[in-house]
Amino acid sequence: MKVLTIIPAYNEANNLPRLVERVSQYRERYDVVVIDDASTDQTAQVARAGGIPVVRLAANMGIGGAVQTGFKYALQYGYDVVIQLDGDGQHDPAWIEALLAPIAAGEADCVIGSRYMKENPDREYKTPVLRRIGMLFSSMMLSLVTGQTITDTTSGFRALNRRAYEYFAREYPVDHPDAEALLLLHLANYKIKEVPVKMHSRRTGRSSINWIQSSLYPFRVVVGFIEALLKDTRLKR
Amino acid sequence: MIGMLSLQNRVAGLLFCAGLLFITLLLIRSNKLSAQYAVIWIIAELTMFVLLLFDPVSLAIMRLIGATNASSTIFLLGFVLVIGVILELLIRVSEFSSKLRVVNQELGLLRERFERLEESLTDKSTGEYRERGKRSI
Repeated sequence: MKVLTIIPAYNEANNLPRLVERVSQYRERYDVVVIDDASTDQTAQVARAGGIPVVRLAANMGIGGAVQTGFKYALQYGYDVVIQLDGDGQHDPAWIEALLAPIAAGEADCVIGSRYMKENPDREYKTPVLRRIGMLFSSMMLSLVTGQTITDTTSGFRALNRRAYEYFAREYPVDHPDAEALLLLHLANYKIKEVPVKMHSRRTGRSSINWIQSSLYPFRVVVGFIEALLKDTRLKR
Repeated sequence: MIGMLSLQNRVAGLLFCAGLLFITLLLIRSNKLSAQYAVIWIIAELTMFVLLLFDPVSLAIMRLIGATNASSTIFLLGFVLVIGVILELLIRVSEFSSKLRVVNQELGLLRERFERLEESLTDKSTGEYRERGKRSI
């Protein structure tokens, strides 16, 4: 199984060296690519210094556009599975194996690494209250529409098989990439599964999400859902 | 009682429309506005001309929507038109941002391929770029 790890990064020169080091331990098993979302710092150089290929975007597009570029890259080089890993170092590559297992067994097309599963919650991970409320809201909305419970809708730690990432390379909700992406997958009849993982909190720098964005998050989810439901996904499959 | 436009109204309206049409044509001529985008705008200006000059047309519209005042009918039509133009612009912006996204991504991917190729062509021992056709000794 040819596996590619996509790392979208925007101004993560400080966090990236640690991640590059950790990812490098698994280089024999998985390929890695960093999608540099038009960073103004040394993100691309840091990744290259670690021997990782970099796709540098000419203009900043946000995480959704960067991740979709990763799917297109995977398509170009013919990978079987892609893993999404955040550039801020929150996700530990040691969990990749856990994400791959359900795909290898053919149980799912998309596997989400979840912090909040009842069976094995990540108690060490601290989520800011506002974000937690937003996540609960999107999780509720998603289960209402799909009938499936997904505990960690905003997790950027995901594995997708070829069918699923090919679909995302064509059709990806770049403006509302979290819950809406999962809804799109569900509407297009792809199987989604969650596995418990542990995540680190950010080391340096600020998350790209501030409190204004956190309070607007529920509205964005609603807008994203309306968009996903209005689109004729059957035609686009 | 149906209130039609006064002569003064008509003249002011016609002058305004003529000015707008003139500016539109000037912008097209100087390549600042593409004719494709100006079409809806020119159609709107010509419609205003017709409404200002031919009473039977505006009367028919007034009867259709149950209006009694010609000037407010023209205002309403102008409002509807502006909404139409804004919607058209939003469609164009959405279209452009989606095209721009594809181009941006495509550029990034090509850049990566190019760098890969460049690296494979660079002589590792000297760090020099081997030009096509030239044989390194």
